[in-house]
Parts: sequence; structure tokens; C-alpha cells
Amino acid sequence: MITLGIESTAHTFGIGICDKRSILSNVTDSYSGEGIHPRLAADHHARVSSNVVKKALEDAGLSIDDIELISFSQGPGLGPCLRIGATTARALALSRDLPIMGVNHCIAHIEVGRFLLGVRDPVTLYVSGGNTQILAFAGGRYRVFGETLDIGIGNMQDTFARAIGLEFPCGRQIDQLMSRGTKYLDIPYTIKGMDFSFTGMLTEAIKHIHGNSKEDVTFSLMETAFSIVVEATERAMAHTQKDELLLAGGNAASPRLREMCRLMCDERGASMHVPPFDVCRDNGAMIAVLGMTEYDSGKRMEMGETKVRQKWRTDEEDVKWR
Amino acid sequence: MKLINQGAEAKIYSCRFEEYFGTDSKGDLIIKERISKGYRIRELDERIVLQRTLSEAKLLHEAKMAGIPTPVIYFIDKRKHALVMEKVGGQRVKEELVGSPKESMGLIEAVGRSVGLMHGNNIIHGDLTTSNMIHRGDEVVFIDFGLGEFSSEVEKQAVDAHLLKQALKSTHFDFWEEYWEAFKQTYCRTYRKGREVLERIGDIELRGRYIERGE
Repeated sequence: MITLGIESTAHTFGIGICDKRSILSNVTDSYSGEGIHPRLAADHHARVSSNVVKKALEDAGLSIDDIELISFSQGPGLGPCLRIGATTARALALSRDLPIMGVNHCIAHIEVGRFLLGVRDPVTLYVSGGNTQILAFAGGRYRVFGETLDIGIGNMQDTFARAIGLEFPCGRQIDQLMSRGTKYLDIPYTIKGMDFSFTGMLTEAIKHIHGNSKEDVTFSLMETAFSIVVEATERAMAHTQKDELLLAGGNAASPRLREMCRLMCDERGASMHVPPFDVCRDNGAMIAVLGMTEYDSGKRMEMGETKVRQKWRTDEEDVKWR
Repeated sequence: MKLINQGAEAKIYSCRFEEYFGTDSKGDLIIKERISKGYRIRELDERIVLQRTLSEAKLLHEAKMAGIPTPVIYFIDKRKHALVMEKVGGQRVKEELVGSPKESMGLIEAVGRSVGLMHGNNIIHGDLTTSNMIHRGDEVVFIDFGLGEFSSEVEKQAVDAHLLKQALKSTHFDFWEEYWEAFKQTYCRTYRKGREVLERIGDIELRGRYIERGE
């Protein structure tokens, strides 16, 4: 079943195409601004959508007539952004008379890892700007075992980056600054069971900017933040007795976070899996993969059920395909 | 000394009293040795490991003073970051809290009473999952205070109770709502500020991601 997937939960508008065996194309175009303005990001998505669709079809060497299913990110995410993706999906499905499938963005991050890497039953550490969650399959649903009690780790990183004068996107610069730091400054280590919070350490790090090098402050902040999520992930793995870790989300690109996850998994005899970056970040291919998987399991969606779901939690969704 | 469990942050050994202390007293021991983590930088790791060992000992003792069953501590090995403790017999509440809520009501009520006592005595457990509660005889013994602290703040106590709610939701999903209701009953009966703490949980949940805010 050749499926076209549409992603538009936040910064990124993405179209991906997949079939049963592999991902055929995956094109993204992201809004960039200081932070995110939902309406401006939505304007961006509307502006680029038709070109991104064209490019994705071109890369896959297909025409729109070859597509058999339209899948889109129904939530969670920012309303104005989600609505652009949903509208695109409805337009394509209605004009070509194709079935439509709205899917959960967070679950798509997990399922694309299972599809590409053959991971069976992982604990997933999902780290991005808006999300920081530890997810695992139990009792027919993807349950949230741990999550941030305030902001996402990427959001914390961006706010800190602005405070030290870096421009968005800042991921790579943060990675570099972090790797050059040597002196560990005291930063609060806030973990509550498998949950954690980042605003306290952000405030403390901003206080440290005066009188310390950017490298040392970045090093101390990010070492602390990563240690916390890795510790919480390890707790979730011990608690659920699972021995595979899947890393997902834009912040999975950080070399130091990957290294820490690998060390943790080695120490407990678990395996660690990270999809290539273009399917780790927000992208259309993962939406295509999940839409196809759900369709194959027998699920169908009427046009009337395609309203976006901004606050859709992963544990509200019965998983029929596993 | 026999390794009986390797958790996320400690190795648990079981051992005979006479073997460890070389005395005539007899009995079974548990040695909880905190593991240094290779993924953490040394400065951070040392701080966390030693601090959690000492604070756990203190909290176990204070909880006992408040009337909550906890294991006895015989010795603290600072060099190895180890606590030498009584071995608590029984089943983890995680395994016992199954089946219809009616049968398990007594258990969750005991948990509510103990957590109410804890918070009433300014003790935050820090990791209230059902893996950290052992059902022995007609009491529930609380273990693993490694992430705990002392605090009278409603906010911290609410986060603590929120963790238990999360644990019930993710691990005991079939009947979690009934369990949570039963917990709230005995918790509030034991703890004067219980109602206030439980109300705060609503605020905490709203700060998280993807919660319906009644738009």
C-alpha cells in the first residue's frame, strides 16, 4: 500500500511516502523564527505545502495517481499548524478519492523506529523541543512512564541558547559548546521517580552565565539534563523489564546524549537503536508508516473524524496493530 | 554474598548476618550498593551517589519514627555507597495489586494511610511506585527512599502523590481509578492537609503536556 504521510504539528511541514518495504521519499521544510509563533508557522506550512508534496512525489519517482492512502498527523501539536496538514490531507483524499487516516504524532516516532530498525518492544526516549517523554507498550497501549513536568528538553535548550546569544536553530552550537566545557558547575538535579523538570536548572544555568565561560555553563547544564533523562529511562527499563531502547525526536541528534544512552544500555546489557536523523526529527515518512500500519490492521477513518486533536495523549489510543 | 537484583541504580545483595558482621547474631541481610554510572561525569555521579545513600538512611529512619514500616539499617558503608539492611520478606505490591479492586482494597488503603503519615511528618518518598512497597503480613513496608527529601511544601507532597497516580495508571491500568479513589480516602483521613495536596495535583497535571484544559 503506497502511503503519503503529512506532518505539520509544529515547526516542520513534511511529506513522506512509503510502501510495505521501505521509505520512498521524505521531504521537509521548516519554519524558522525566534521560538515559534503558531500562526506564522501555519502560514509558512500553507505556503510551502504544494511544493513539498511535488518534491516528495518526484523524489519517490511516483505520480499522485500511484498513491493509495493519505495519512496525516492529527495531533498532538499546535492547532493552526495541525489544521494546515489536515486540510492538505482532506483535499488530497477527496480529490483523488483515497482513504484517509489521522495518526498520533508521538506514536509515529516509535512505529517508524520499529519499521526501519526491526526493534521489537522498546522503551522509547522521545526528546524534542515540545516533548520529553518515556514511552513503552503495556496493556494494549503506549503508556507514558515518565515525562517532563514543565517544558521539553529542546525548549529548555533553545531558551538557554537565546540567553547566551545563539541564533535558532542552535542544536549543533550547543553540542559544540558542551563538548568544550571542562568545569562542572552546580546545577540542580531534579528527578521525581520517572518524571523530571527543567525550568529550575534553566534558571540556575542562566545565573551562572555571569562569571563563567559559555562552554562551562553549557557543559554543566546539558550534562545534568541528559543525565536526568537517561536515569529516568533506565528506571523505566528496569520497571518494565524491557531490554531495547529507541531514541526519537530532534534532540536525539545530540552525540553526547547518544553516547550516554549507549553507555547506559551497555551497562545493563540492553540494545540501543537510533533511526537516521531525517526520520528522528519531525517528518512525513513516520506519519506515512503509521498510517499504513493502522490501515493494514483494519482501521478506517471517515472524513467526519479528521478534526485535529491538539492535546491527544499517546495513552488514549488503543493499539490494534501489535 | 549473593547478587539477587540489579535495579536501575543499585545492586542488591543478600547475605547472612553472621557472614557480614562476623558475630554470633543470626539473620538475613540485604546490601544495597549504589552503582556509579558510566554515562554521568564523575563530579556529578559522586555527588548523586553519596548524597542519595546518606539521605536514604536518614529518611528510612525518620519514616519509622513516624510509624511507617521500613527496613532496619544495620550499617552504612560510605566508601562503597552501601546500606546494610534487614531483609524484608513478602511480595511486592506491584504483583499483589491485581484482580478486582475489592480484593485489593485493604492493600491500597494501607498505602494511603502510610503516605498520609509520611507527608504529615514532612517526608517525601520521591519514587512512590508499587515496586517500592512490600506486602508483609498485614502491613506494607516502604523501601527505596533514595530520591526522597524532607519538605512540608504542599507542592512537593503533591508531586509525590502524583507519581503514585502515574504508577497506578501505567502499571495497574485495569482498575487504576478505583485504586486511586481508595488511596485518596485513607490518605485524607490520615493527613490533615490531604485535601489541599490532592487539589494541587490538578494544577501539576495542567502544567504537563497535552492535558485537556476544558476549552
